[in-house]
Amino acid sequence: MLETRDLHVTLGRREILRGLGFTASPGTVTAIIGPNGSGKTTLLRALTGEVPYRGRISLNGHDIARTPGPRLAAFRAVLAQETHVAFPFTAAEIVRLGLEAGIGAHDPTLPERLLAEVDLPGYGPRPYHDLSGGEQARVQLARVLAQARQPVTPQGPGWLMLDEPVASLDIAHQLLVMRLAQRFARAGGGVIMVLHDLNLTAMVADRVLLMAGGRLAARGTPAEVLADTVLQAAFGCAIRANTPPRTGPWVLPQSVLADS
Amino acid sequence: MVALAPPSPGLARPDPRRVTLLLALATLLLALLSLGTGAAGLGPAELLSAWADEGLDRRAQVILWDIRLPRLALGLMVGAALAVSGALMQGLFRNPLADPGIVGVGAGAGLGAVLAIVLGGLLPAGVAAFVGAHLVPLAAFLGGWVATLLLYRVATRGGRTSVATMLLAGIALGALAGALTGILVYLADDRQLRDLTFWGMGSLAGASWPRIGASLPLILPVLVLSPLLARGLNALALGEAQAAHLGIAVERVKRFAILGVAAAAGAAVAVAGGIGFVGIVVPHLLRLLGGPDHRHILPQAALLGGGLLVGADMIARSLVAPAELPIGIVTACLGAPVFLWILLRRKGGMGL
Repeated sequence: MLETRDLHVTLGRREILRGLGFTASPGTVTAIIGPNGSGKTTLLRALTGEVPYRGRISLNGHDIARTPGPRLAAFRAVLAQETHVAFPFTAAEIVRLGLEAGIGAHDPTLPERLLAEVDLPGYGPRPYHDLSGGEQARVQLARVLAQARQPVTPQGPGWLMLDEPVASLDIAHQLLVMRLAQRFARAGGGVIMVLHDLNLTAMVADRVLLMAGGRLAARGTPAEVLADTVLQAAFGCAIRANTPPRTGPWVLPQSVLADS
Repeated sequence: MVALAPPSPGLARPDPRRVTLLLALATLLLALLSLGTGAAGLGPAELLSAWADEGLDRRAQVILWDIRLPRLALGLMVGAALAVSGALMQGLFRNPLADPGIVGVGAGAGLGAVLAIVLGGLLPAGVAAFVGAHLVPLAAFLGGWVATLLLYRVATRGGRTSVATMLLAGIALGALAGALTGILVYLADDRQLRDLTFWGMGSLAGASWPRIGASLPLILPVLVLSPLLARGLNALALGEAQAAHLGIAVERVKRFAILGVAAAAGAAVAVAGGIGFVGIVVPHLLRLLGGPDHRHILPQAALLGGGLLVGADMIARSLVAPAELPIGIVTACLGAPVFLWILLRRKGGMGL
């Protein structure tokens, strides 16, 4: 269980998170959405202990401000928006960085298997820096999956925290990543991810947190949050959401022309 | 599911254990060659035959035990210390251009050495007699440590060390140490000027068993224990935040790496003066050879660094025999072109 209470984050002189609280259960996918600068990434960085915060965050019952990093790393893996790699590692070596931190037996074929899962079969020996942006993003995802390869760990449910995991991916690979996240949750783990694509959110999220101005503007199921008035108020543009009974909601921005 | 371009051929990296073994053999060979090289004209063949027959005569024994062996041991030690320190710094700063000098060891040690050379005569007679010939190395070592600790303090707030602050503060500290050194150079007389010029170019000529005994306790633990930081340094290649998410105790890795470099590089500079390029070039070559995994690079750097310095020392001793060149000149002449070559062959970006 992830529980947060009365969360405040101040970076420099600016208060980015201005008091928010929510809970997320293992076995579900929680999507954090909201306009640029609303505090999505800061919220994720607070949840992973990267920025100092006031308030309380507990993950599987551990107060994350007081839990040593290595213990958290045993059941929580984090994908940053961008990762710069300093040295000429191969794709397999990057994935193995996730493995070394995790627990369990060292299976030498695991990096290649994980690379195949993110649709990079046979990419293990290739230099990371020679890959395209989308391929690099998937190598990093494979590393995160290596660290969180057990959806349920001896320390409780595993957690995936992903900051815009599909930002540099084509549509097929966006769906692939969503499937992997959903599979992790269905197997008993918890997924928290920042997303920009409202339709992917509608497809994959069990719970949606809509942020605006450092607070939660709305929370609930996709059908509850992805509604015309809610979205228009948060994003400040004309959006139509449609919720056919069979497929769940889909969201369409109104034409730029119609907006003016 | 998705159409794929056929994967381009990957990297075929040599087995790291074989690389290590090869480096060990090469270093051993260089060491034996170095024992047979020197101004006394005692060649490897003579040494071997003397050994095989009835043992060495008195003169050969002195040359071997009191001159060549300590010099060989010091070369291996100093080269290993500089190369391992370079690998640690590059890993910590995530920058293939970092070297031990970055933590202020060079600037501080230089200032300490110059202080000792120029103002050493002002010491009370009792202290001077006690420290004796070790005054310059001692001052250099203390200077290196003071500079490192100062930088570390400046860059550390609330238990977190900012690597970027350390780098920038190091530039400021280097400038300050340079200015102070300039004042001392201005005050120095001709003999002192000569001494400090040669100190700056580095030399293994001061090798002696007591000096080795004094620096070994600082260098050996760093060489032996540095592989314990390998996993942390590998993860740091992804950035500090990512390394922490992977479960690395990042602050501890930083602290140990900085203190280890201050100890090993500080001791190396103290006993051998300013020897450049070993710390930068050796980790580079190893990364080209077998990849950037610090688990292999750290032990291999000790071997290659030691072997390289012993080789450079052989060149320094034989090029203008019976005199000898300062070894720093040789390492710069060898290292700078290699370094340029590495820079030119990289295809772009920071993909070193």
